[in-house]
Order: sequence, then C-alpha cells, then structure tokens
Amino acid sequence: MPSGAPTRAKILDDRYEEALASIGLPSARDVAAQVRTYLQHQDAELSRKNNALSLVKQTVSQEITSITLGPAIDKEPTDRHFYLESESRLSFCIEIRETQGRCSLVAYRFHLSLPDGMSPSFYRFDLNPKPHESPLTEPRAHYHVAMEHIRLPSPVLTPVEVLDRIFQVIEPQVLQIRFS
Amino acid sequence: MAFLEQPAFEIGRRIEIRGGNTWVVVLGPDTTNDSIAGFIADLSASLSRTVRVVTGAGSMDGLLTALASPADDPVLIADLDGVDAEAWSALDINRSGLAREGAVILWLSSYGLANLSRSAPNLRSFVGGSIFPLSPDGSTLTPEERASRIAELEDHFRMTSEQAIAQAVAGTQPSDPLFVEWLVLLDRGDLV
Repeated sequence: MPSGAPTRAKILDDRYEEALASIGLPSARDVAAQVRTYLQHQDAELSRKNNALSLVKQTVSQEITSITLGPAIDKEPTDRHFYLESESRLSFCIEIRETQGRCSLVAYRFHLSLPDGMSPSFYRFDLNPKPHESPLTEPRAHYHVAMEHIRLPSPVLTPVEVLDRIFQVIEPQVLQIRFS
Repeated sequence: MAFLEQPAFEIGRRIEIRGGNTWVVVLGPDTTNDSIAGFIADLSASLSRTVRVVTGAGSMDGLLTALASPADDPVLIADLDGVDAEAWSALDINRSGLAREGAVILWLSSYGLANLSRSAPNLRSFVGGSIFPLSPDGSTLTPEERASRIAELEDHFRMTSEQAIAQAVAGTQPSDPLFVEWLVLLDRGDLV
C-alpha cells in the first residue's frame, strides 16, 4: 500500500485553516439574512411553499451565533424541514463566531435527504469546528453521499455556496431523474 | 386603515417592482436598534444592496446632502418618529429636494405615520399605499423549541447536557457542528 496518505491528509487539513481565515463574512446577522433571503427566493419558485422566514432560527451565546433550520438530526420528514420541488428535504446548522469586529465560520452541517426510493438517500456537507485526529478518514471539511462513515474532503464553502450546490447542482439532477 | 404585515424580503421585492424614487413607510414593531438592524440586514440581503442609514431629524441641509450622495442606493431614515409638526412641514416643503433614484424607507410607529399624514401631505402622497407593518421576527427559538432541540442532541450524543459541558470544559468534546450548536443552546458559547 502506498505510504504517506496520513501525512498528505494532515497537510490538506492544515490548508483548511488558511481557507477559513481567507473567507470574509459580514456579521452573523447578515449571514442569517443572506441564508433566509436565499431560501425565500427559492421558495417563490416552488409549487409547495415553505415558510422560510419562520423556519430559520438564530440563537446567540457569547461570541457564537447558531443559525439553524429543521431538526438537529434528520430522522424523518417534519414540518420544520425546507422541502424542495423534488420533495428532498433540507436541514442545517451554521455556527459563526463574531469577535472584535471579525466574523468567521466555526462549523456547519447541511443535510439533504432525497425522496424515498432515490439513490443516494442523502448528501451532507460538514465543516467541523476543529481538526480530527485522523484527517484521512475525517477531513475537517467534507461531504457524505449516503454513507455516514465515508467522508470525502471538500473545499470550505460559505453557507450560501453550499446552498448553491444543493439548489443548483444536486436538485436539478434529482428532479430530472425523479420525473423522467 | 389596516395594513398587511410583510417581512423585509417582501418589502424589498415590492421596492424592486416599483423601481426608482420609491418611498416606503415601515411600521416597525419598536424602535430598538436591534430590530432596526435586523430589518436592515434582511432588506439589504433582499435588495442585494446595502441599505444606508441616514439621519433625518435635525439638519435639513444634512439630510438633503445625505440623500444626494449617492442618490441611487436604498436609504433608511429611522429617527423621524418623534419630530414635531414643524419638522414634518419643513420636509414637505423641501420635497423636491428629497427626490432621488434610490428608495427611501421611513421607519415609523403608527404615531409617526399619523404625524406624517397630518403635517406632510405631499410626502404622504409619495408613499401612497406603500405602508407595511413589519412581520414579527420568528427567528428566535421558543423555550419549548430550545428544550426539544437539547433533548434531541442528548439522545444523539448519548450524554446529558451536564456531561457535554464537562467534556467541553476538559476540551475532550467531539469535533462536531452539532456539539457546537448544543453548547450555544446551553448558553455556553464561551466553551466553543
């Protein structure tokens, strides 16, 4: 087996620190507004309406703001999810730190469950709050495709960039497969 | 007359539809800086342009200058609620100088709107039917929602909230976005 994979994974993980530092976010309030507005724009196009305004919640403690939608863990459909046209359901949490006028991403988790019978059954985009001891199996920024324990590295994305992938990359394909 | 409550997103959409030189009154739920800041963030996101806050009370020259430079961005005037009839009349007389390409949003209470209608009839006609009570902000978790979410996380991580805090204090907590949310829900953001 070729050696060096753990070292390369560690180097990749270290690069996430630089990437995180380079992402300029406005205030946590502005990030929440961007996310809420993004969802409201999407909602305007849907035949089944969500109430995006009331689905997105904010909680603040000290320097950390938590922006959430849907249940913490997706187990089944709920009225707290955001439903896309394909009937895929979205839930997420975004954690942001505001300190001394600077706003930075701490972590996120976006979970998209596809409709029953679709394969894969879910996609998830995670940014962990700190590096894992085994970055090869758990890179700090990663995504899952229907497998809880397979975490493939992804770039660090802003919350709106994750939503772009969900609504403009995954959803059109799901719709095409579902209704073709 | 009853006006229909609207969220900032919908107010932004209507401003875009009406185009240039739009005057809007937003009946804010209160005049705290927090609710105004939330509205500005939401409206800025909706319009994809930063909403600039302009001071309306006090100097007429200052207001005219602020509205004209630049003249194409959306501006919010949030300090006119308490001005007297004389100040509203002065604004009304200077209304031609207030015309601009960008939208003007007046943040008022129903008391302020009554004063505007009484003392500045021409400005009131600028506004027309664009009077929107701001929808209540539903973004705060209720105590029940918070408790339910904490219970969900305790079940997921198979530990109590006290154990979660102990782990965070010891620095041995899992590196998981949900654990961060849990600490925030427990008002222990200092441990993140």
